[in-house]
This record gives sequence, structure tokens and C-alpha cells, in this order.
Amino acid sequence: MKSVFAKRSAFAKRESRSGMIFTIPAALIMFGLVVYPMLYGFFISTQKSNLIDKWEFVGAKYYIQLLTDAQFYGTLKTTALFAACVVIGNLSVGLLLAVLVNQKIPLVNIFKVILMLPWLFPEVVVALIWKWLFSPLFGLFNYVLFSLNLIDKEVDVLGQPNSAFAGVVFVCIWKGYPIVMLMMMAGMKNIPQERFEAAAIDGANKWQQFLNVTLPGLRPILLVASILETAWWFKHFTIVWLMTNGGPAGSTELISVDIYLQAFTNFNFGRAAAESVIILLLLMFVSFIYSRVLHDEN
Amino acid sequence: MQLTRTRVGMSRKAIAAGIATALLIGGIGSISAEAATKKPAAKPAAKPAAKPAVAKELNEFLNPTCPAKPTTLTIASAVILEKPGGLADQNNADEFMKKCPNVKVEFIGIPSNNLPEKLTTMAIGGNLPDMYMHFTSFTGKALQMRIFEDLIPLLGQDYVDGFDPLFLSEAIQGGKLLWAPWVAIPHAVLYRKDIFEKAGIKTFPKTFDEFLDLAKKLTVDTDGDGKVDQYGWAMVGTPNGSGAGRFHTMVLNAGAYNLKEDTNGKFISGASLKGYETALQLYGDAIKAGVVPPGYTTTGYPEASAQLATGKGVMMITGPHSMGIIVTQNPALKGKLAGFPVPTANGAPPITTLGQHGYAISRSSKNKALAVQYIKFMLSTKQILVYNDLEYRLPSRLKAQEDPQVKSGMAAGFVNALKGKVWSDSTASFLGSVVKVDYDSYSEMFLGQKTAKQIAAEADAKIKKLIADNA
Repeated sequence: MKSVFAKRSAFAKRESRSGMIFTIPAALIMFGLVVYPMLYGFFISTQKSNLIDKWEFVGAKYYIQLLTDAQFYGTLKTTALFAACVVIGNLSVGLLLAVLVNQKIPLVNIFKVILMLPWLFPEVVVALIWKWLFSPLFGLFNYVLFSLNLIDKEVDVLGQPNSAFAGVVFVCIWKGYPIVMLMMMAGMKNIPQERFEAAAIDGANKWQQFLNVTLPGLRPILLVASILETAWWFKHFTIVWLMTNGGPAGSTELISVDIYLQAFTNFNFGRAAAESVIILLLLMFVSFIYSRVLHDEN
Repeated sequence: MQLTRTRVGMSRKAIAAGIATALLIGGIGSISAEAATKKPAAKPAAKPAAKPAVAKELNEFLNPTCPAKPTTLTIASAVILEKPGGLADQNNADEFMKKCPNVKVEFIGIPSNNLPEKLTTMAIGGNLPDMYMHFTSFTGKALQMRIFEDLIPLLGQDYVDGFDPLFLSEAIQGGKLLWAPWVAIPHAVLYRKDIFEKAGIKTFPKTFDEFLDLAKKLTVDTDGDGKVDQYGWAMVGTPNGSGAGRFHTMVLNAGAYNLKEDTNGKFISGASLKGYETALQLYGDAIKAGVVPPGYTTTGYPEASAQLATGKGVMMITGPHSMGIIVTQNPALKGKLAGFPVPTANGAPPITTLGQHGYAISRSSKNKALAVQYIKFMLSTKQILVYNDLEYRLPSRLKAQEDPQVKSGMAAGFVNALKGKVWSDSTASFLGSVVKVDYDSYSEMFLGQKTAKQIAAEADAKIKKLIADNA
């Protein structure tokens, strides 16, 4: 018995050691690409530095500055509202289109390809195209509205705070819904057909089947999609920066834009890093809340 | 068994913590080592000034000394991306490479509004090119990062004396020449001569009120379809350096400024002066009067230039380089553009900015001697006049300025603008943040929700906070 245990123990040790050795490359890559930059970013947030040859330890100065700065909270509020609008938009549009293309209709595959196209364009291209579409002088948007006699004066979508905000949200939904649609389509394939048949036998109509079979079946996918979408769009930068530069008058100044301006306009890397750390912690908290709310006990 | 498992479990945690700590310490250590070992390069020993030879040799270096081995010279440039100015940059490189076939000149194109950010990133990453384009607004950051090589010993004092002193007054800081000035684009009001003639306008406005009245007169429906299609002022309203620079020109001509150093070297805000409010009011009044084409918040320099090219706009606060882009878009306008001095709030003598840029040599460059050859080559009269011919930018070399093409024709108004007062931007490293305050201010004015006085007061508070935070 003792020798069997000893043999098992030696075997288990070898197994354990082999397992560790095999995971070392992945762990090193993870440390190098994820953990080290995070730790370095935290380190910079405690320094007043030009990142070249000037380093002065300031401790939690930038964190205190941020947490007592009304403008920071204003930017955070704008970002939260932006992320909420885009995430809800993406989930709604993506889910609706996934349900539609999941039907047995002619040429559905062509529609699937067309609906995926926005996601395939680079964000830079999307931003510049829509910026021109919204141009009050040369843009198609105003041309169509004029042609339909809906307006008698140019509408400067990106020139007013509310419409600029709505404009960037719209463009981000236009860009972002395909990936959600794709995830939902994959999720729907995993819902057993028998559930729909059983529901139909019980007299459920299409809407009731959607509420009681499709949505619960998509819960794990919805959780993943929600977390990913929230994280992506909370820290989004490209489309908003290219379309509005955070204007007009700061109405579309997201936290990512503020971090960029702090680092490269104000040359204040410490504060920019501190903002990044705060956002990281915030997003981790949000992910935790999502997983609790959408947790699938099955 | 249990004990074994526990020991292994603890080892895993210990190993993970150890790796994390090692990485952190390693990171900190490497930064400290880097900071400790990164000292400013020793200044090359000042060579005795060369005796002035024949006068032209101080300007014409069309036969450069080529390196013995194949060499690549890397240059970060904003001009290379521009049309038609990029042709001048490329022409310099092509001609130089003909003279030195074993040299490859490689441009890194960076849009001018992104140049400071990109150069900062490159400096932090330790991969600055041999030469980089320098705008005066970058001076503060360049001084703080100490990324430039002093060009006086490299170029020689005699050569440096061949630059226009106005250019040198900005380029020399603390006794060091930070960059070799190339060209300047002083601000004036660029206008469509043909539209002025058609409207019977013979005199230029001297005050803000006269300017606004003129813009109203020029805002018309030219084709009788009931919609205005010609606007008096092609305003650059984008929230970036292009828009802020033009706004600051109006602030200067209203008797204020955004930031400067007092006689004690202390930074002071000028946004509390009445002129800042007056400039904001002008912007607000222009929008209200409808003399600016719609979409002004997204109208950048290229868009405003296009408005003049197509006749949608008639006047634009800008430098002479805009004439190059306009004529490229609409060749029929050659000879039909000109400039007049920027109006002032109360008819006082106008102020302009030099708006110069040039090339600096990176302190980290391993090809400094070759870079010096390239700079002298591109600043030779023949080469520098190519750029002037394409975009009417004023050359920095005194000899090139004597050429008749520089002072005449469409550029005359801009050359004359330099005869008055010329403002030089502050060398504060946080000037970029102050510029942001400027463009946030006029963006607020566009919304019409606050008065010019309120916005000016807020701008003043923000600038003062920036001064305090960076003290």
C-alpha cells in the first residue's frame, strides 16, 4: 500500500511538473503581454514623468486629483451613457437581425453576408465615411433630407452636442452590431429544436417562443456578449476621435479621448495612467455584476 | 499525499508571486538604469568658425559630401503627406539621392496635427528618426525631452548667420539652435480676388466690425435658387491645432493672447484680457450672421481651402500655403488669390505669427554628419525656391528671400504681413493643453449657450490651473 502510494505520489509529482513546464511558455507570454504592461501602467500612475529621463514619485496624487475632479466624473458619465447606448443598440439590433436571418427565407445567406459588411470595414474608414455622409455641405444625409423636403436648412449633425452624441452612437452601432448578430446566430444553433416543438405543442406563438425558449437559451451568449461589448465600447476611441475629436465642446469626450489628451497633449502620462487604472477596476467590477445578474445556474 | 499537495499548491502561488515581483522589480530597475545611464550626449567640441569663403558657398550646397558606406537617412515629415508641398520634400530627397547614390532617404509621413504626439511616442520608444520636422508649437516639449541636437556647431556660425533673424529668434533657445528653419507661413486674410472684383470691393477691412460687414456682403445666393451658396468667411472651426492657431491670430489682433512669459520668466494667462472675449464674440457673431458655411465644427484646413477653391468661401484666415492647395484643386485660380493683413479689433496695427517649420536632427541619430549635408542641400536657394513655387511658403534663408518670386504675385500680401508685429508662441511644455483650452472655448461659443465673457473667464481659469499644475 505504502509503495503504491509512494509510486502514485511520484507519478503525480511528475505529472504536475510536466503540466507546469508546458504552461510556462503561455504564462510567460501572458505576463509579458498582459501582466507586465498592467503593472508598468500602475507604476507610471505613481510617477510625474516624461517617460524618458524624468521620474518623480508622487504616490496617489493623480488618483486623488481624479477622484476629486468634477470634470473626470462628467467624462465618466458621458462614457457610461455612450457605452450603454451602443451596447443596448448592438444587442438589440444584433439579436433582432439574428432572429430574422435564422428563418428559412430565400437568399438568406446573401443577406447574412451583406449584414456582416460593416464589421469588416476598419474603424478609421467607417469614421471618415460617416463624417462625410453627415457633412452639411457635401454629405448624402442632408441631400436626402433636402430631396424629401424634410428640411429647409442644412442639419449639422456633428455640430451640436446632442446630435453629435447621437451621431457617434449610431455609427458605433452600425459598426458593432454584426459581431453580436454572429454570436447570437451561433447561440441559436445550440438551442435544441425540441424545445421549440414542445413550446409549439403547448400553444406558444412565435413571440412567446422567443421570450421563453430563445432568450433563456441565449443567456450564456448574452452574458459573454454583454461583457465584451461593454468593455470594448467603454474604452472605445477611434470612431469618436476621428468624427468629433471629443467635441463639440466636450459633448463626445469619452474617457479614452481624455486619456489620450492627457498623455499626448498635456504630456501628463502619470494622470493618464491613473485614469486607465481606474477604468480597468471599473470594468472588472461591471463584469462581476454582469456575471452575477446573468449567471446561468444550469 | 495531503502534505505533498499542499507543498506543491504553496509553491505554485509562491512561483507566481515571485515571477510577478521579479518582473516588477526588473521593470523598475530597468527604468532606473535607463534614467541613470541616459545622459545628454556630450556636445561636440565647438569647431572654430570656418572663414567665410565666397558668399554663395554659405548658401549653395548642391554638391554634398556623400558617406562612404550605403546609408539610410530617416526623416519624419508632415509636408511629405501634403499636396502639393509634398512634392518639394520628395524633390529634395530625389535630388540628394542623385548626388549620393549610396544614400537612401526614407520619409516617415505624419500629419501635422499628429506630429507632436507621434514624435513624443517615438522619443519614449527610443526610435526617433535621424531628422524630424519641427513646428514652433513643439519647442517646449522638445526642450523638455531634450531630443534635439544643437545645430550651431554642426552647421557653423557663418551658415547660421544666413538665416533670417526672425526665424532664428524662435529657433534658438538657451543659445542652442533647435532646428534648421525651412519656411514660414505668416497669417493674413486669404481672399478670392475675382470675387472681390465682381462684388466691387476695393478696400480691405481694418477692424473686426468691417471684416464682419464685408463677410455679410459676400454671403450671397449666386445662382438665384433661394439658397445661399457663397459665404464670406471660410472659418476653420475644427477643435484642433489648425483651428486654434487661426483663433489665436484673432485673439492677438484683439489685444490679448493665450499664454506668455512675463519679464521674470513666469507664465501668465492672457485670457482674462478683454481681447480674448472680443475674439470669441467675433466668432459667435460670424456664426449668428450666417457668414460661415454650415458644418464649421468639422471644417478643418483642407475643407476650408476646398471652400475657397470651389467659391463656397471667399475669405480665410490662413498662411500663403493655402494658395498652393487651392490652385492645385482649381488651377484656374492661379493669379486670382491674394492676402491682406488680418483686421484688428480696434484698428490697431495688425499682428501675425511666423508659422515657421524646419528640420531638427535627433540627438540619438547616428547619421548626424549626413543629416547636416541633407539640410544644407535642401536649404540651398534652388531647392528652397521649389517649395516656395509650389506653396508660396516664405524661405528662411536671406539669400532665397531676395528672389523676386518670393515677394511678388499672390504671396505679396503675406510677405507684407511680416512687416508688422510678429508674435512668437510660448515655449511652455504644456502649450498643447493651452491650445486645447482655445479650441474648447470657440467650440463653446459655437453652441451659443454661454456668453463670450463667461467662456473667456472659464478659459482663463483653466489656463491658470495649467500654469499651477506645471509649476
